[in-house]
Amino acid sequence: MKYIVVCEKVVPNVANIPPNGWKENPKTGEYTLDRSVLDNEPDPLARQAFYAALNVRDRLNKDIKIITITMGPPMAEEILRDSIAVGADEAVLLTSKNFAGADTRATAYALAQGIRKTEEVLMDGAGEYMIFAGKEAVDGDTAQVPIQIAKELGVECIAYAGGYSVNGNSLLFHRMTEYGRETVSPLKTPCLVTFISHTHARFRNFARTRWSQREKEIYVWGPDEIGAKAERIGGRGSRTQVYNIFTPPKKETANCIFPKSIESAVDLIEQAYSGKIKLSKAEEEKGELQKYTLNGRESEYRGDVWIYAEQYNGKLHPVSFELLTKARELADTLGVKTGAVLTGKNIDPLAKDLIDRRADKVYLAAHDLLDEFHPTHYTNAVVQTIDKYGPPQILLVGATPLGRELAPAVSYIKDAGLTADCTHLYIEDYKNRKGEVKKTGILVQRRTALGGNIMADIMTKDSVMQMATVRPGVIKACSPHLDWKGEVEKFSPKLLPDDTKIKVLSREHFTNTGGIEQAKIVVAGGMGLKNSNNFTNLLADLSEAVSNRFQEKVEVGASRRAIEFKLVSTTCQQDRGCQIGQSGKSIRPKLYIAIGISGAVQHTEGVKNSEIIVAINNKEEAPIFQFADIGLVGRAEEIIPQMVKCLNNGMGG
Amino acid sequence: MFNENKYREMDVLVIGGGPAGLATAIHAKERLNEVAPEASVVVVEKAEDLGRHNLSGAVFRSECLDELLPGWRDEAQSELDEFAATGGKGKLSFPAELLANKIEKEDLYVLPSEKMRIKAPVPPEMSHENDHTVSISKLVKWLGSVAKSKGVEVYPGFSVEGIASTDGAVKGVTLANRNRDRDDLFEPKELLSAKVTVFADGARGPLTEQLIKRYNLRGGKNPQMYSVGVKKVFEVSSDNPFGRNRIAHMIGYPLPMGVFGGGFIYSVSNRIHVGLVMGADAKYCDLDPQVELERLLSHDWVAGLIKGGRAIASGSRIIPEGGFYSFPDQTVNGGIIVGDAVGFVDMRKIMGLHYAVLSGISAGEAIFYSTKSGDYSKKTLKDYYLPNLETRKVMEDMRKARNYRQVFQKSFGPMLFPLHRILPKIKVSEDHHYISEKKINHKRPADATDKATLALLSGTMHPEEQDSHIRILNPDICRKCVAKYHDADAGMESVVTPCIKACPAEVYAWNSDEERIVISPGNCQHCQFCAIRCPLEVLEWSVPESGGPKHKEC
Ligand SMILES: Cc1cc2nc3c(=O)[nH]c(=O)nc-3n(C[C@H](O)[C@H](O)[C@H](O)COP(=O)(O)OP(=O)(O)OC[C@H]3O[C@@H](n4cnc5c(N)ncnc54)[C@H](O)[C@@H]3O)c2cc1C
Ligand SMILES: Cc1cc2nc3c(=O)[nH]c(=O)nc-3n(C[C@H](O)[C@H](O)[C@H](O)COP(=O)(O)OP(=O)(O)OC[C@H]3O[C@@H](n4cnc5c(N)ncnc54)[C@H](O)[C@@H]3O)c2cc1C
Ligand code: SF4
Ligand code: SF4
Repeated sequence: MKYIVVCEKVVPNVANIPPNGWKENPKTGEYTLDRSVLDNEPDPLARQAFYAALNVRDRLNKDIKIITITMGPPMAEEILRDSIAVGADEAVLLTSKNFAGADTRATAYALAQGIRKTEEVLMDGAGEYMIFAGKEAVDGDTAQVPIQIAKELGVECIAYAGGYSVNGNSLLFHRMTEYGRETVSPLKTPCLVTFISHTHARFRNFARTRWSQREKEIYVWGPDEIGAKAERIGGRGSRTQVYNIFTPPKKETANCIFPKSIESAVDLIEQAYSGKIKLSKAEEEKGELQKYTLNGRESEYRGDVWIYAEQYNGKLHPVSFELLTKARELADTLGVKTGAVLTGKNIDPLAKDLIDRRADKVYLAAHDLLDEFHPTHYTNAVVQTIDKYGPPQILLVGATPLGRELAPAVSYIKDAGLTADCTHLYIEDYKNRKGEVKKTGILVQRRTALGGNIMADIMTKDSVMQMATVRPGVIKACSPHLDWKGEVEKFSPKLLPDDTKIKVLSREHFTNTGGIEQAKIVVAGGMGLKNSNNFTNLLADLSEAVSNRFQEKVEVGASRRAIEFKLVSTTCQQDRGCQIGQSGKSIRPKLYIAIGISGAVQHTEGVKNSEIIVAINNKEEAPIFQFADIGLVGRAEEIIPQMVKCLNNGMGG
Repeated sequence: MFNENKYREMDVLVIGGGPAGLATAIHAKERLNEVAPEASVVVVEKAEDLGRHNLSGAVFRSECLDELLPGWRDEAQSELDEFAATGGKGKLSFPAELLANKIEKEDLYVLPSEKMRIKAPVPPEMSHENDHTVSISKLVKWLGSVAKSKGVEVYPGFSVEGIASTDGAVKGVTLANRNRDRDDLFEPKELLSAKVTVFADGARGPLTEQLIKRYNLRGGKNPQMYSVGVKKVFEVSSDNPFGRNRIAHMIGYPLPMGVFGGGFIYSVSNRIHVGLVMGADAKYCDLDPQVELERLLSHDWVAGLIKGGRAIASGSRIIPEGGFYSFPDQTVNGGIIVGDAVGFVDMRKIMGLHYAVLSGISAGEAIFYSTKSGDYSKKTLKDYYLPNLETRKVMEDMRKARNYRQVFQKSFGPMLFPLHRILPKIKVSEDHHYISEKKINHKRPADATDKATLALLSGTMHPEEQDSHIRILNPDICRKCVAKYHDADAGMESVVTPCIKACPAEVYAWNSDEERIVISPGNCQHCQFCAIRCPLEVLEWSVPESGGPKHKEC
């Protein structure tokens, strides 16, 4: 390998929104995010890819040339110059107003064209290069672009690399999957690798900075220079369209409930956790409440409503049932059938489970090569299923690590729009400003963006089907319906071992909960725990009891101060892996328990997306209680043992 | 091709991109263009972006810009006229905004209590007629763009760590290491060399302090004295009762008797800046500037002014107040000191901005003549620097104010006050010598914001994995400090030590289990007030590798 191309991106710094970043609309009293006051910065995960490139150069071969490329506004040049100052050899800026308004598909195409041109101009044409990208960008967080670049270039993509090792002259990548870790080796270059956070920042060097500011030329190309077709870039080349942007309603504050006893607190937590009661007035699902009917009209798209049913080791991922529940609702509205696509090796028994959840059709694509997840084979199997039995008008995929690899690839091949991580999906007519119906019965895909700071309604356009991914846990799965009748279609897709150019060398299986950021339950301690004995013991006891009670793995977190005071374990201390907050991790668990944490803004920033927040603090006036749903006032040393007892006794259950 | 060493050499190197550093660079470049257009003038600033580490009041005496940038005023005025003619559409450029902020109303109030306010006449030496209010961050940002347009190279995001000198002459500087705690990623120090190095690193500038030590530049002088300024900027509605183009100074509440300082309220464009200045020699060991600012904000009148407003920025910085008798020698072989790093602040008005600019212009002149003669010796630099400071009346003002601050430190001070201009040098000790075990027990008002919020509003950020830039040289000593200054009967929940109280951003806390001070360097505002207040002189503040506040309006 002689070159590494790094895809970078300029993003607004959404982790650090200044107080005047929110502008109040005097009429509605709503706040909207003013992007102009946000600082621009290089996307942090793309930077991880860049640091990986620098490290690879240091460790593998000093002669590797690093070329960084970005598509963006002219001011993105600043970030490219910064990359040069840190250590990139060349930089390419794709900029033109014709690129603007691009969705992931049009972005991927433009970048792919840019990379082709780079190969011609800046490389020797032998294809001895790799492309490094961040797993996803913080502003869009779709994780689609890199995978789609790979599809456009016809190269393999290794997603979610969390590290690499040097093996002689070549590189092995360690990629994280939902079920553990794989070590893979690319058999051929070019090849694309996406990175998760894994290494430390590298800094600018003064001499390089001065050189880059004064003399270094960077390449600036528009659509013509890279030979991009006008109909494939910008808004025109997009397959999705954002047609409504609004600010998500803020979580209501100051309605913390203070239960009279610890028993009733545990009881309340259980009821909230199981969904029996709703504590915070979360956003009402307005679209789903109003009943939509087609009233005999034809919907814009034709076909059934499908889901991709994810399985692992002969077991269905729970998100499959959640998706089927939503698919049923959408199909009923549209008056069509539901279908589930299942890929794997010995998967016949699973069809019944899907029919029990009211699938009308189950498409089984079975093949020996589908035994374990392999992005290329799985993509091909799904595409062939669509070609044979579809297309459906809607295809829903779980936003699991697997689904987030599969869906962008399928959508790119089928030339269909895709919206990632939808929080709401419903059928509606699309009306223009004047209120005229322009499209009948389309799928409204609502999602958050900019780190949860804005919401957008998105629709698919110019596609054969509408695709969306949904995070696990967002939809409540219906219970089994044992006498539902459905049909099973089984076929064997045409797959060859040679279809792929990456080799999986080893797989380690473990439940990869994705750490604290993905955890369903997080228990965190702060300075109120006072010493490390207290911290370790109390948190361990509570975690264990909570874990047993809710049958879910519990992750332990800490406030920054607890880490600075060294109250936490060494593994937690390491790289501040368990620090929650603005300068630590952002979490979004279903249940968050904060013990002896005062609730400073920098801390609550990182937990604001939690569903149920429980706070234990000895001071009634602690700010955390303005933020929590359930509050327990008292000393943690006394409260926790009692809570543990209640949880273990199954009281309040 | 890229030759590293070539890029580490320059003619003029300026440490610190504040008003003083940028004025020096602009003027030096302009003058050097006459004789050596290829000469490189480079400014290195630790903030990620110009203006982000600067904090001031501020009332600005803008005449100094007329010499630095002839013609700017007319241009700005015509923009302003046009703006008025078109009914105020669009956005004003910085210079026009500056002119629009001319002070029209000025008040001095004595606040006897949190409810009362008595208007006092403004003494002529405090008058701000013809001055303008300004946000220093914006001023600096603008000076930076002017500098660049004139060919000055400006590199923010680099912290200078040490001075390189040989044979008694400054030869350049070393930059702070990056990733210093990680072997595999260790990036070695870079050495920048220059013919002349300008020390424009502000109050208690870490590099200037090194220079003073290395060359004993303060021999026989008073030590420097300081105050800290803590402030908050509010976004208020246009019908705000304070109004525009107005400033007010306050003495009395919230500070206790005998403590130097006071409050200020400035309207800058459509924002209101409220700040509190407090002497580092305050005798109460638990006096807490952030709490005092909040107390000022809860004063009936002040609270009424900011009611309904939203705090959008906050931060702290120190002011060098020793004046004339505390100035170090301002030149060495190959080096020259400007601005707050010297201590060019007129304590009668607490103004330093225009002296920073004027001293920069004077230094630019000295650099010009030194370059012409190829001689950067202390003597040559001094021979051109000092007379230029005199012509620009910098020294004259400094001499007039020479004892103004010092009289406050003496118990008989107030009586001597009227005589301050004719008294001989009043000797003072370092500020921390005046700290006693006495406590004042001022409480943070209910509903007031805490120190974490101040840190939040300043936008401060330091990479979490970075080594702490604050060190306690002998942590065991802190136990003695707690024993002396903390009242054990008060419990160990909120321990009093001078550093915990001094820091406006909650960088210090006492871990009573392990009996040691715990430091959260991430919150730091770079004001250095903690180090000044540490009575046992064990607190060392050094320049962090990267990070710091992100002021845009302070
Ligand atoms: C730029 C910046 C970034 C930051 N980033 C982060 C971040 O990412 N994450 C983060 O957490 N912080 C962050 N902070 C720090 C933050 O401002 C707070 O200082 C920190 O969160 C406080 O931690 P704490 O709540 O554990 O400690 P404290 O504020 O000391 O609170 C301890 C709490 O425990 C309670 N308590 C005491 N005894 C008991 C007892 N026996 N039982 C129960 N409760 C008790 C007290 O009433 C108090 O409320 C950041 C600050 C800055 C300036
Ligand atoms: C609260 C307050 C109110 C004030 N009010 C007024 C007023 O109303 N009117 C007035 O005229 N003056 C006022 N002053 C004083 C005025 O702000 C200063 O005199 C002026 O800012 C001095 O400019 P300077 O360039 O010397 O220093 P600074 O503005 O402090 O700039 C120094 C620069 O050097 C950088 N630096 C420091 N060390 C390093 C390093 N090692 N490496 C790289 N960079 C470094 C810093 O980041 C900073 O940007 C006030 C000051 C304060 C604190
Ligand atoms: S650092 Fe100084 S002020 Fe702080 S506790 Fe130690 S001795 Fe006291
Ligand atoms: S630690 Fe020191 S320098 Fe930093 S904000 Fe606190 S007082 Fe200022």
